[in-house]
Amino acid sequence: MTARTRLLDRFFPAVAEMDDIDWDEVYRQELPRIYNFFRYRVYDTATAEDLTSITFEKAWRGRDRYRRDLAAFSTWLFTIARNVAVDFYRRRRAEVPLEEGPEPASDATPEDAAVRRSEFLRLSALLRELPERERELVALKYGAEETNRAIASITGLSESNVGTILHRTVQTLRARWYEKDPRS
Amino acid sequence: MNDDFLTEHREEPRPEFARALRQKLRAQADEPEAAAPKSPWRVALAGLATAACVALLLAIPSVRATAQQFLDIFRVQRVAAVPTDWKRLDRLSEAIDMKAFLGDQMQVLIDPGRLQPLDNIEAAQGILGTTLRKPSMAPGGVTGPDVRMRGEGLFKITADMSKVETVLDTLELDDVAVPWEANGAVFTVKSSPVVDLVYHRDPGRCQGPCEIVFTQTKSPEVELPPGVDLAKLGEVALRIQGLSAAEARQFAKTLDWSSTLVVPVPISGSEYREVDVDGTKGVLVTYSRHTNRKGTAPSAAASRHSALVWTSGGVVYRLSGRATGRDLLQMAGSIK
Repeated sequence: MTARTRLLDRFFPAVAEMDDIDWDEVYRQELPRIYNFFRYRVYDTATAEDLTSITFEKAWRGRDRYRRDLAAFSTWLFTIARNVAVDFYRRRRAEVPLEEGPEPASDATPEDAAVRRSEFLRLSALLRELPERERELVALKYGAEETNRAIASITGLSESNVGTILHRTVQTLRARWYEKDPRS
Repeated sequence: MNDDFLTEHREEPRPEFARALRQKLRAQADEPEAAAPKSPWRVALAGLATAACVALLLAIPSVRATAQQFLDIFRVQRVAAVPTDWKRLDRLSEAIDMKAFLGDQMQVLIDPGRLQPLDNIEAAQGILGTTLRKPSMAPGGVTGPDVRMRGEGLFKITADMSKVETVLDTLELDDVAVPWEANGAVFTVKSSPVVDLVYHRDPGRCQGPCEIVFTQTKSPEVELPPGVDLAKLGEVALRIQGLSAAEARQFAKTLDWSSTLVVPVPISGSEYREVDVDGTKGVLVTYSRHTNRKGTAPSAAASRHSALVWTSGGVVYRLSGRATGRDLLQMAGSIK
């Protein structure tokens, strides 16, 4: 810490307050959410891991920013994750087929794992048919388990708009899911 | 609405992956501080402050005319919260290389150094240069205090309004006039020694660091050339911090820039209010801790982080840490 930053610490006490982040707890809590956000965005475990790593490394390198917005840590972290996803798609211009990824970790029997994998492939195919905005909202809601309010903060949409779009999207997905899987 | 077909595909990250990433981050954390990236927000604020004499100088305050003809001296007499849009400053630090931008606008004449532990409160008494005060009560389960201090500092800042212009352009604040009349003004900031009394809460009540810190320091002093229109500079600073033109104008007019310590408060995720404390008015800020994956805070103690700032008798006080606003007010009420 330089003398300049110490000076600013003193004169911006409310900001300097945000210095005691428990990163272990943050990591434990946010890692599964970020990871699943990417799984629901890129449909591939290996790529999701890569993008999760990039997100946390960016967050760690820019951790001082977290101090200024402690209350919105999750929003801040997911803003980074969104940008990482955008960069990924800009670079790739194409989605990685799920088949290229490794088997997801699981204690299930090989048969159960195969069924789960097959189901996720099917969901991934449905998600790919959605517009970009809807896909992102689904990833935030069902991958990252964010609330509508948090999603609104992350995306800049209004909370009611988020709710409306998700409701409509889930209805569409459900219809297609059951249409393709009469067992459900 | 049954969402199972959407939710049942979540999975925990592979333990090997989670461990490897954690180790990678820890390795980065162990790197020497000198090699660590610069703090974007601090650099951004420093850039603003040194360039415009805006953020920094307006964060300090307090003025009294002196017998000297050429200088005013600022000291803190009151505190006020100002809503601040951190995203705007993020945007600024992303657009501008603040390290280069900052240049040598701020000259450190006396480096205050890092916070250093002291053996006892008596040792801090002589350093502070005024009567050391201490809460006589604290929330349940609290132990301490540990004592730490930081020395005095002296800084010289030269205002460069071309930098202010760059900042305003970057933020597309086309309707804000650059206060060119303050260009080249040299400000001297003297910061007094700081003493922290650190109280430790029962770790079981919190997640992670669990401290309440009582900070006290004599008001910093700022010497500035005569004729500087602080209200005008203040209005610019408020626009940069995210206030609308009307809000900034109104706030700048009502605030006594000559004696007010401005406490920036995030516009989202926090609550603040003026409170009676220690026979004067202070600002109480309560930050909402980020919620867990279910969208609920783990517990009140773990989720609340509050700060109480006030000034009395030429000394600036701050109580802050993992506590509710009520806890801090009770502690402040017991200070002797």
